[in-house]
Amino acid sequence: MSEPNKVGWKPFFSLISKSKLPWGLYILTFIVMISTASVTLMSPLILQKIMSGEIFDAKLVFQYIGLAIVTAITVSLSGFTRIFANARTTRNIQNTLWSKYIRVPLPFFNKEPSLLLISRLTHDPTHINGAINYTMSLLMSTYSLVGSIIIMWGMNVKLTLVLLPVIPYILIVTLVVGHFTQKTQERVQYRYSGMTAFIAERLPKIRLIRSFGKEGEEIENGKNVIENQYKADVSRAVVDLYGEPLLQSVQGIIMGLVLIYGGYLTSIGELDIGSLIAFYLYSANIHNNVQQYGLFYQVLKGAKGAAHKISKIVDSDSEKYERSKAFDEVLQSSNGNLALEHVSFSYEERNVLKNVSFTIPKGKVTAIVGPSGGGKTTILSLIERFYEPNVGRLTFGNIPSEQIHLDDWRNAFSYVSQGSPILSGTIRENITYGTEREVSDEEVIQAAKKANAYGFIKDFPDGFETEVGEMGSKLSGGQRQRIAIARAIIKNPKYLLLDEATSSLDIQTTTKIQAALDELMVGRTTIVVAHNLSTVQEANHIVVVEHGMISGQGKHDELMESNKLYRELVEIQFAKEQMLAW
Amino acid sequence: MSENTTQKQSEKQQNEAIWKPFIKLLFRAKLPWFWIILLIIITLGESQLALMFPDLTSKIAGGHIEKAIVFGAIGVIVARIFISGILRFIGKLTMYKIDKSYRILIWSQLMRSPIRLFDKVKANEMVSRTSTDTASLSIIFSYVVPTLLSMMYLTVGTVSKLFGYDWRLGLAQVIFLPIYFGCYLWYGRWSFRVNKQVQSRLAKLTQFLSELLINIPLIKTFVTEKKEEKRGINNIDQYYKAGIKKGIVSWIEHPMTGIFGVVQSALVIGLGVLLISNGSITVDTWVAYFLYVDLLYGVLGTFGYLFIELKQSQGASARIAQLVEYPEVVYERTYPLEKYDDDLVLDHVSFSYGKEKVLSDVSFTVPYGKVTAIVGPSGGGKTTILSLIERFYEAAPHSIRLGEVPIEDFHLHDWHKAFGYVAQDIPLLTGTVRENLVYGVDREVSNQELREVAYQANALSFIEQLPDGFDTHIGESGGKLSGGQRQRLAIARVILRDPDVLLLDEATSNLDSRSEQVVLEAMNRLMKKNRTTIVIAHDLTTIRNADQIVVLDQGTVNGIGKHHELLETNKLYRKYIDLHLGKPIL
Repeated sequence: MSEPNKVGWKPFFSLISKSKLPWGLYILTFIVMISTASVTLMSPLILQKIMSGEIFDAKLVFQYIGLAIVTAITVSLSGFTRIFANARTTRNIQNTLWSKYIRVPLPFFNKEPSLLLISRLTHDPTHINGAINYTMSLLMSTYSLVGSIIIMWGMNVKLTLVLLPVIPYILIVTLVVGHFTQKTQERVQYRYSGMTAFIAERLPKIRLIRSFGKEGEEIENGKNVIENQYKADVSRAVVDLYGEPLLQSVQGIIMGLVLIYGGYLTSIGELDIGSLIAFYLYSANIHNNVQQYGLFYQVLKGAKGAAHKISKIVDSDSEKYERSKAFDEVLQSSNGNLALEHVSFSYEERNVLKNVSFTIPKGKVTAIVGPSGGGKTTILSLIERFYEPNVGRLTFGNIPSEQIHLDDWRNAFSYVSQGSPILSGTIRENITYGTEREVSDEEVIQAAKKANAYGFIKDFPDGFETEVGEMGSKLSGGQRQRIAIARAIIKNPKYLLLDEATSSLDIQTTTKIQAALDELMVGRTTIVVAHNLSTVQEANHIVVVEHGMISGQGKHDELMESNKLYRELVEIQFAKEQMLAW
Repeated sequence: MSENTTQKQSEKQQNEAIWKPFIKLLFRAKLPWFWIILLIIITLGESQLALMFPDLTSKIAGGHIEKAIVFGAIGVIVARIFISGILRFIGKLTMYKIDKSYRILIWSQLMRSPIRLFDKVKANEMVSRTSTDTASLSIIFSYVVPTLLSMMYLTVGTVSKLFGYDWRLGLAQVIFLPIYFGCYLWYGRWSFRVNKQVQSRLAKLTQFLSELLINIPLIKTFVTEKKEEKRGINNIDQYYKAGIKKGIVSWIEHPMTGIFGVVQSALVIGLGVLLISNGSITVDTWVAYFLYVDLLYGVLGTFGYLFIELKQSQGASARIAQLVEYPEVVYERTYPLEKYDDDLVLDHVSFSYGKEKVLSDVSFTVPYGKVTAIVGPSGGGKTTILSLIERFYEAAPHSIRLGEVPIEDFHLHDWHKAFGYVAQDIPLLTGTVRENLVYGVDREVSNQELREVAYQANALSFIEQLPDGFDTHIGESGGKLSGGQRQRLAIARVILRDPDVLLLDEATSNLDSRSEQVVLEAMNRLMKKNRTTIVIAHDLTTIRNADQIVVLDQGTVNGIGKHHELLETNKLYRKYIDLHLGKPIL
């Protein structure tokens, strides 16, 4: 609704020219449509004669039936080609969009909620289709309008002249009614989404509502929301109450004029009955066709908006994979250390990292510790090159990271995070995700064993071929995590990024996962966001991050001396263990 | 192929079974009968006007340009114009009224449905049933029924008019009409089926997109852009193909209508030639005949569409019925709960959600005024016990008792009032901090009191730092706050409610150790005052001091006792402690 109205036409045309549209089909459709219009224009002339009594003229009758057949065929034909044209346009735009989604940099997704992106792909292309179709219909309308007027003019100038002022009237009525319809419709939509949001928020929290005994109150709230939606609906209906007769009045006026004035002209002998019938039939054309003009604006507005939104996505930059250096090249010719040099970073307005510098030595374990919200995960994202630092740089073996091929880079890293994203498909597909080579069953089993996952996988009736459900929903959190670890083991990365989970899993599972992670870390350069003290203590290098800044770094003993926060964290942990000790 | 036919058969059976709930559901909600009847009357009136028109025009066409006829025709036109607005308005009004009453019906019902229903039906499905499915039900009364009635009226009116002109004209239509209806009925059915296929393809596409868009970081990490691009394009292509199929099916209507049109024209003209030549009718009558037939088939053209609407609302009603017909929770029971002042006894409690048994033969006592902790591996049934105690689900009768009284005999509202529940997922609602804090109480709460509970929950300092203090909007589901902040609000909310029994379910598990420290302090305050407390935690340090610890493993009680007792007697418990301490498992 907050869509700026000053959207120009450029995005629309640039989108149309960019997404290979099936022009051939559209042109074919248009030609057939024009022939339909021509045939339709002819038929009243014949019908008129039949109706005024020449029903025994066999030639006329066959002409009429012939026309009916031709119309049926052309209408069907244009309908047929149109199906393909429309479906292809939609598909082409969708493909372009999807390829883009897959390649835009990550910050893009922070700005656009994924629901919107989905509707951009599934819904918006139909607007573009609509506009193209409408333009064709409009051209056809113009053709049959002009045609009708010319024919009518030929039959009787006076009657035609009387009908002409109706045209602006139709336009005005259509525009005015359209305007109010749209305005009230917007409110309906707004209230409707409010209603859906209300319901969608309450339902998953039904236990809260129950345990607080709020059913009665929420029923009332719900009724209010529904009532509000109803009121918006009613105001939309009121527009119809006035709009509908206005729109219908057009036809009434035309018919009235034809009947009264035409009747008068017939009675004084200036018009024969046959022509009057023809006039009557043609005048219906005026109404239908002119109305199209009034609606055109709304269709175009919708298409313009949709094109603008789609273009914004299509025109945004994709991530550039090709850079100047290969990862392995740099690795061999340098010390292989990663370093953040005076890095600052912010998501939109929120500053997350301020002047962060530290080095991650090759082959060692570097731990990042600190309270949540301090920027630890952001550091991992920067190392994955999901984002680029606003200030400062990330280097690898003293080479700035942006000079190194991005796909190389990401292939060299594995990121195992708390969320452990799993895609729908089988367990095997998830474990081998991202490996391009053929992976043997033996290798998959080995990886699963190392990840402490083989035990539960084996217990599934389908073993590795078990479907994990959408987002891995059929697996428990601990199981998902271990599959993610097995996946990282298969990928066998040189550099490992770990985001240790907090304690949302029970201690047995946590222990199993920890063992799997330890296995994974062997012989790899590891950067770990650590919660577990044992991981931290074993790290070669510890970085303490607080409020986006580094408050200390060094080994465990050093930090115990020098860093207050670190000491505090260790003490909390220690006190806990003390409580349980026996 | 055979699979296809069995599928069709089962679909057929389903269809037949669907009619009953459909009709039953139609009358469940309070329907605006006055408006529905008014709508039907006006629709029929409109049809009557429409019927008058061809007669008049045919006369004009026949050259009878008398004032009475011309003005009669114009009168009919004007009347139809005015009625059109009223008709549209009342149609929509009726529709919206029905929408509203179904929505309220569903919503009220959902609020009182057992939690089991919420386990069975996903929340977003419930949302679409309340919002979209209701609309396809209301269209039955506001559009389909009146239009069908007016079609019948017009058909009967036209045919009898035609019989009045000449019996052969009437008979021709009587023969032609059933064929026409039959074809459209068949077509409507087919087209409905294909539409459903397209919809399920679209749902698949949407599901694919939503899963992948959320997992973009994964794709980037594993550099699988090319592979996923291909998969996406494949999915789009499937949708495209389904779309084409749908397009072709809806296209068939063109040639079908075309053929009917041509046959109709041939019939009309042929009959005209025949009857006029033998003097049975005049040209005027024939013109009227022509116009009537034109009018009739103009109106009947939407018959196929009406049928599709009807089928759709049938599906929608089956889905709604599933929600509405689900037995309600019974709130009124035998006794009020005046005071929760006794031990809670679980006596051989067994429970399952579906086939899978979650608890078997669990027995222990929750002593009044003491802290009971439940520990054990995830999936062992800990949360289920809390749910049973809160009566979200019902255990077997008499198996859980407060003192001597089975808990299912207490009024449900009273029971819920006695409990305060702090869960891991911290449900907050869109709104301000204040609104969320007072959510659990029915009385007016003073600012002083709010500050006091916020202080006790260790939440006051961060609330005061928010831009608008207690009146700060916390975003959708509290999304603008951190996990620790949300958890402290949830605790403050429970403190304000001051419940007799406190249930804590993994309340600190998503927090880092410093926030956990702060939250724990707040929770400890909450557990004081001799409040009966049941706590579940992975982190054993939080429950070490509990008066009683129940070790639950795979749905059965593995041991009960205090920390030091269990250390000696219970192997599983000791193993847990060892794991916590990072000791090697022996």
